[in-house]
Parts: sequence; structure tokens; C-alpha cells
Amino acid sequence: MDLHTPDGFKPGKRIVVDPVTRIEGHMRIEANIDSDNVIRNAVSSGTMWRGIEIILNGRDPRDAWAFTERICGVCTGTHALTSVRAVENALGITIPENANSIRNIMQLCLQVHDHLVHFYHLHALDWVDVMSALKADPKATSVLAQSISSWPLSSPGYFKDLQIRLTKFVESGQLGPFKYGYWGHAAYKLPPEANLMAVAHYLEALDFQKDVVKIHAIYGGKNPHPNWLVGGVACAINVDGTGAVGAINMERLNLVSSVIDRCIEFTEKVYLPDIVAISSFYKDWLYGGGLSGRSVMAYGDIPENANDYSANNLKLPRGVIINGNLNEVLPLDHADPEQIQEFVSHSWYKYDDDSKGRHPWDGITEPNYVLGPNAKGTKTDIKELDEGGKYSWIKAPRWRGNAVEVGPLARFILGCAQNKPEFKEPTEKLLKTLGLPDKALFSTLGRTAARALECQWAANQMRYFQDKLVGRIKAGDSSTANIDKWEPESWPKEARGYGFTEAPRGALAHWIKIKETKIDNYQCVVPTTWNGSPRDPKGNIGAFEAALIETPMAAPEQPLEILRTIHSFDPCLACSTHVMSPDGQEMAAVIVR
Amino acid sequence: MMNTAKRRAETELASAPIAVDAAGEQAAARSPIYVYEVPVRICHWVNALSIVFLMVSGYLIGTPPSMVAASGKFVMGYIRFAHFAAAQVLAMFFLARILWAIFGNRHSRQIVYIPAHRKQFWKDILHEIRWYAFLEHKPKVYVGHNPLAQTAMFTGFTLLVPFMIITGFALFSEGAGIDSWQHAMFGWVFALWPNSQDVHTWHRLGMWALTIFVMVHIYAAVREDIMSHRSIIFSMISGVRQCRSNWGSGVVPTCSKPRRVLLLGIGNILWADEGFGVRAVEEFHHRYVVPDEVTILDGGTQGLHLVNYLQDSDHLIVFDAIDYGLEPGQLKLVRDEEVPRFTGIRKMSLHHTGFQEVISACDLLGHCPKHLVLIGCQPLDLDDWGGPLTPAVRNQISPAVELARFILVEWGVRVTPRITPLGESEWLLANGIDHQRYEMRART
Repeated sequence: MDLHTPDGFKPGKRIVVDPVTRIEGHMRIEANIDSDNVIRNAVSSGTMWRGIEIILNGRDPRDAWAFTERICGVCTGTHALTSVRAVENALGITIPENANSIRNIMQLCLQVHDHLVHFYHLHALDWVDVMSALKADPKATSVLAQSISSWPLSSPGYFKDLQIRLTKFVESGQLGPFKYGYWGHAAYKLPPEANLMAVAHYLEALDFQKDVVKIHAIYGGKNPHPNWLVGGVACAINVDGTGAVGAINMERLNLVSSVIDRCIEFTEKVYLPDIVAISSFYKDWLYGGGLSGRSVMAYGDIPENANDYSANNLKLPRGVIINGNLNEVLPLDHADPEQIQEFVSHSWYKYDDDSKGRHPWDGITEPNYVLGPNAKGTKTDIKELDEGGKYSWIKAPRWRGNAVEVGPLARFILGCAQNKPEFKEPTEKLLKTLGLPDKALFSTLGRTAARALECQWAANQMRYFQDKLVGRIKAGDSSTANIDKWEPESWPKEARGYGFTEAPRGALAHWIKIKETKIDNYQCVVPTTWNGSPRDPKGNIGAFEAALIETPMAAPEQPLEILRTIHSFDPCLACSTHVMSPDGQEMAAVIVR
Repeated sequence: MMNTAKRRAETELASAPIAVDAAGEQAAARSPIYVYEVPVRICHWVNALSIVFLMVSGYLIGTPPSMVAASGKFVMGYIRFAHFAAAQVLAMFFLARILWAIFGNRHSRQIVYIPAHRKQFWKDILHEIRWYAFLEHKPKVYVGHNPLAQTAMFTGFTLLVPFMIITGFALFSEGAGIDSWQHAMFGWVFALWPNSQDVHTWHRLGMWALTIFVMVHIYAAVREDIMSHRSIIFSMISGVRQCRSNWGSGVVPTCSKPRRVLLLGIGNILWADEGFGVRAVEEFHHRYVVPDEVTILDGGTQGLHLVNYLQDSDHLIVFDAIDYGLEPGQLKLVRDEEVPRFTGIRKMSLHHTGFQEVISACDLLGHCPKHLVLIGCQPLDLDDWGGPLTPAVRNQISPAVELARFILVEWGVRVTPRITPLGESEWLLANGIDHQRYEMRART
């Protein structure tokens, strides 16, 4: 596959998928299909925020997390964690071991929660036809469920009951929660029974996710916006239960522990078996690999010991693979101005020289909203983008000039390439169970499966760090914060640093410059900037665009395949779209020209 | 003050799911309630102890183990003595208990009759049977015995125990002689069953019936203690019926569970007028004090993270920017069914999870707040990254807060103005993102 700007393409029909939101071009996909309805060119455009430095410059670095936490409602904790790490890196602040364990548990909890919710609440419905579930035989569903898992909620009566409930919801007409699906689409392959089982698990996951976030409420002190702290974590440990309100006591530690156990059980008995069951019907739909077989990157995360962010100490893999060379994992350095750079040649921003990239420490965000010469429509009502010009609010970050994919699949590919058994073994086992070759991993389905495997990994790692934390507390260590350098007087006049995490959807980093105790520049490069990036000056296309190319579509006016592949990245967009309107409008308009 | 408290109590009564028990008493929305008086409790425990004693000794009398049959020992005699002694105690305390039904409170009378003439009673029995069979999700709330329990107590205790007393004393009279008072009082039993062995058999059958009653009685007490979230077991010690909150099991408690009200603001403060909801709830928190039953929450753009907060609430007020195509800054109040709820399947990302989907998810899970109010404000500018609320929208915060207060008062919630300003640690939004500091751009 050519991973550069598709050239020589004779434009056929152009499909435009654009969610209806108040913000123009919020997340928009345009694709050209040939006469066989195969995608030959894809254009991804998105609205990211317009530079957090606009809001943060001049503010107290210790407050930055509270602002970045507001960028997005799904990734809150992970932005906050990245932010406190950036400030600590800049000012040379270390954190206690307990704080490291608690941060890891919070981050892993977010992984588990996000993966579960993403799969069941959003992505599963790209594979599962809810309406078909109404036709299922509850008895056969029960047999199917019991054949794949020992999960107890699997009796014929349970599925019958669920089917009745589902029918009621569907018949409630306007309130029917599933009214906008492409039900009955030819790209749905599951038999009714598998659909019914998956819908049952959709509801169970919806119910279960409420318990998962309790961990955040306990260690974050406050939900839904947990508290974070430069130098540690905001929660005090007091096992005697005599401390301040909200301190961590034995009761709370036990509650966390029981939630972790249930996370492990749900992932192993519901989520993974569902992935296997669903995948077995889509073995011949292995499209959407895109960049994953070529170039992937992960920053690594979950430090075993506090304050050491080197690859050896990180439990999630760190490194870069380019040009499909799985035998060589390249090291990466966030501080090296030659490595990570953002380009704006196709983004609605301007640099002094658009052909050059800028390292985030020197990042600027100056809007320049101009459409390319071949764009159709107006600035306020774009009919068709011109990918030859500027076409997205997302910048194009590159690693040494390479477009890379980030996310669970990238992490698992790197883990396998580094021969880490905790990533390699489950991956091989899953492929073997399904009877698929290794290269099947480089697909939309592979991305979805890697997320499930990672969910299992994360749930078990939560158990590990919870035990480690309890062990240290028992040994008498209740320290959760280091406030040696809390006061700005102890800071240098100028400092700069970076912090990184592996957010559920991929590599996330913040770069900060501090001058005279105030923020001088602050840049976030988020996972969807990598995956959803537009083209760069050299014509390299981003992961979304690459993944869509060569995908055949069953019915272009119902672009289920496009949604399926885009969803598999778990894209993150500026969260500003919950504005309610009276008529439950469709979330995406589709135009075929 | 009195009036307010009374009105609140009435509102609470009206909003809690309440059944009238057989004694005609409504479960008040407040607990604890004093149900079992001292004599009732003493009788209960003495009778319980006697019955256990009688069952064990009676069983041994009817089926003597071989080791006690040897002559020269008096073991069997002791057992018989224990049985007779316990029988006299039970007889006295049973009598006392029946007499107390005349003098005691209405709950003490519940076990001596069945209001068989009341249609509602039979309907309620049916409900209880379904509840005990796990076919109902919610129990009805009774202060005293529920209809099924009342029926069980009446037959298993009030009818069965006299039967055992009468047949027991009749059998005793065989040994005590025909001039004994036992024979004088209970000798007539042999007119019914001339063969004394038949009386023995009936008496023993009665023992097994009592055994079953005791097992069911204990099972039901333990089960209801857990399932209906009311004190059942301990109230026979303290006399007080207490309702617990819903800690522990996932069962929805209804027994005068304290009503929960959620005051929620949603939106993204970084996108200008998008922040309306959060700023409104922040202002409410600064301005008013509310009782513990009310949760004030800055929901941000949390989507599904908010489901459990909604599930825990009976009443919900949401502040949000809404697009009804009105003049910028115009407020719109939407109630209950009119609040939009749907799930957007075609959304591009989870980040498109709107609040309507949170409501929809609660609906799907079957736990949507019963009373929903949306206080919306038509935004002017949602596209100004990092910008302040536009004046049109900012000016509506105060009216929106007052509107919420009005609705809370209408629901019977006491809302009082805050006299001492909040400390920063109590703010809803702190660390520089409170409204004032957020909009005070440090470098312009």
C-alpha cells in the first residue's frame, strides 16, 4: 500500500461523513470510491482545541492539570496526569512510591473503563446488529453464551427477558435508543443469537462501568473530576480511619480491591470471549490496517518504580517502529527537537515557514482558516474539502518525519516486537484461537482485539499495583506527596519539561515552559493528533486516512465500514458537542456525490 | 419553621412509595418508628425459646434415642419434665401475648386476625408472594407485618400454638388423672379422638408444622432485613423499625429511602457559552445551602461517568446550554418526558456522548430519575476557544439559579442563603478554573 498522498487517482464518487454539531468540521471524513465501491482516497478533518497555551499562558503551572482535565470529558484523568508529570519534569520534583502506585491504578482504571465503554457503548454496534437480536432464539443464545464463557448471566430466561425489554425499547419509537443505526446493513455478519448475547453484554457493561469509576472517586478524592497534585496525589492515607474526611482507609482499599477483582472477571469472562465470538464471524473482513503494519509508536507508561520514565522501568512498551521493520524498535526522546515535530502545511494554522515542523516546546497555534482552491462550498458551509490545501484543525505531528499510528494496537505490536511475554503470549493465543495469521493483527479487527487484550492486561496490573500499595502501607509508609518544591520561590527562573502517558487511545504528551513561576508555553500533542492528522509537506498521510484506503463498501450511502474503522481508533475530539436540541437529531449526515 | 417542616414531611409522604398495612397505618416517610412494645418483645423471645425447647424435647420423647432407654437412668424423666415445664411457660406467655393484643398498640393486634374481607389485602398478598419469589423489583413498604407475614403469623402461631397447647395438656392429663385440672379443661379432646395414640400423632404432626413455621419465619425475617432495607431482626430487640439507605446490595430500596436530589451542571468551560451549565451550578453552590439529600455536581463533559449519579437520584435538575433556536441568552425550562433522550449510534466518537445519551442509558438500565428538569440557556458563541461567557448568557446565570431554587422549594427541599462564604477547598471548581479566575485572563 502506498502510504503517501494517493496520486494518479481518478476521482469517483465522493462520500462526505460529517457529524452534525455546532462546530464546523468537528470530525469529518471524506472518501473517494471507485466503481467497485472501494475507497481509493480518504481525507480526515477534525476540530481539535485551538492550542491550550491560549488559555494557560501566564497561569500557575500547579493549576495546569485542572485546565487540561477540561479539554475532554472522556480522557480527563489522563490529561491531568500528563500535566503534573510535565510540571514535575520541568521543576525536578520527585514523587513518593505510593503516589506512583496510586497514579498507576488511576491510569489503568481509566484504560479499563475507557476500553470497556468504548467497545460496548460505541464500537460493538459497528459489528453487532441490534435489530437482528430481536429475532434470536433465547435458548440457542444461552447455549452459545455457555459455550464460550462461564459467565453466569447466560440462562435462556435471562436472554428471553432481555429480548422482551429490548423489544419494548425499540417499540417506544421516538425514545428508541438505537434508532440511528444502519440496522440490516450487509456488512453485519453475526447470527441473531450472537447479536442478542452482545446486546446483553452491552447493558451489563453499561451497568458495570459505574462501579469501575468508583476507583477514581476514591483515589481522586472527587468525581467526576478527580483531584491531582504536582508532587504526588491529592489523597491522604490513613488506615486507622481517624484522618480527614476522604482519607484512604482500609474500607476504601478493600472496596477498590473488590472492584479490581470484578474488572478482571468481567474482562476475562465477558469482554474477551465476546471479541473472540464476534471476530470469528469477521475473519474475512481484515481491512483497516493502515499504518499499523508499517509505523507505530508508543511513549510507554505505568512506571514500576517512581520517577523513572526510562523504557526498562515502564510496563507499557516504549519506542518506534518505522517502515515495517519489526526487528528494530527505535528509541525516542521527547526533548530532542529533531524527533517529534508538528506540521501545519495542511492544517488551519500558520508558521513562519509552513514547510518546516516545530518541536512542541516551540509550538505556536495561530489560526489560518483558508480553504484549498478546489474546495467546494463556503467557509461556513463546506461541501467538499480540498486535501491539496489546508483542510483540518488538527496539526500533523511526525516522528523524524514519519507518520505513525498510536494506541492499543501500536502498544501491542511494540510489545510483541520487543518479545515481552505479557503482550506476545495473549496476542499469539488469540490469533491461534481464531486460526488467523500474524498479519491479521494489522487491521481494524486487530485494533479492536488489541484493545480488549490491553483491558485484560490493565485490569491485572491494577491488581498488582493495588497489592504493592497495600504492602507498602502495611509496612508503615503512608506518604503520598512531596511538597519540597511546592513553593514557587524554590523554582528556577526558567524551566522546561515534558510529561507523557499512554492514554487509552494512544500516546499523549504535554510540553511546558515555565518563566518566572508562570506558564510561558504549553503544548499538548494528543493521540488523535497523531492518528487523525492530515497530510504533511512530504505527502505522508495519517493513520485514519491510511486505514480507510482499500476498504470496500457494501453501501456507500450507509458508510458503516468507515465508521467501523474510525471508531476502532477510539478517536478523541474536543468535547464540546453535548449541546442539547429538541429533536434527537442524527449525529452524522452522510452525503454521496 | 413548623409549617415548613410539616410541609416537607407531607411532600416526602407524597413522594415515597407507601403501602397501607393491615392496621391501616401508612409507613411514614421518616424512620425510625416504634412498632413492638416491651410486652410484645418479651413474649416473642420467651415463646421462641420455649418453642425450640419443646420441639427438641418433644422430638426426643416421641423418638427416644437408644442410649436413654436403659433402665436405672432418669434421663427420659428429665426430658419429659423439661417439656412439661416449657409447655407451661409457653401457655402462660401465649395467653399474655393474646391479652396484650387488647391493650397494646395496633401492631400488637396484627397477629390475631386476618382482614380477609378487604380486597386490597389479597392483592397485597399476591404482590408479597411475587416479591418473595423474586418476581418483583421493589417491596411495598409496611410498618408492621406485611399481609403475607400477617397470614403466616396468624396460622403458624395464633392458631397452631393453641392447638399444641390443647392437645399437649390433654395428653398430660392422661398421666395426671381424670381429677386433674388438665383433664377438666382439656379432656374433651378425647371426645374428638378417642384413641390417645391419634392425639399423640396430631401433636407430633403439629410439631413438624411448627418446625416449618420457625424455618420460614427466620428465613423471611433475615431475607426481609436484607432485601427491603428495613430492620426486621433488630426491631424485635429494640422495638424500633429503622430504614437503611442502600448501601451494599444493588437492590433498590424503597422503604422510606431518603429522597435524593441531584443538581447538575454540564458543559465545557473552555468553549465560552458551553460553560453555562457548570457556571450556573457553581453559582448556586456559592449562593445557597441545601440539606444532605441534595447533591450539587459539576458534571463537565463527563458523559457516561454521570450515569451512576443519575441512577442514585429521584429528582434531577440539569443546567445546560441548549439549542432550541431561541434568542441568545433565553432560558428554557423543560420537564420530564420533554427532556430529550436518545443514543446517537452514528456518532464518530465517544466524545459525542451527549447528556441525552446519559438519560437514555439510565432509561435502558431502568433507573432514570422520576422527576427531571432541564434549565437550558440558548448559547450565542460556542466556538470561542478559551473565551468567557458572552454577556447575554452570563446575565442568565442568576435567573437560572433562582429558577432552580424555586423548583427545589416546590419539591419540598429547604434552600437557605449561604451566610458565610465558602472556603476555597469547598468550591466546586478550584485550582484556577473557578469562574472569576478563569475569566480573569492573566495576560491579555
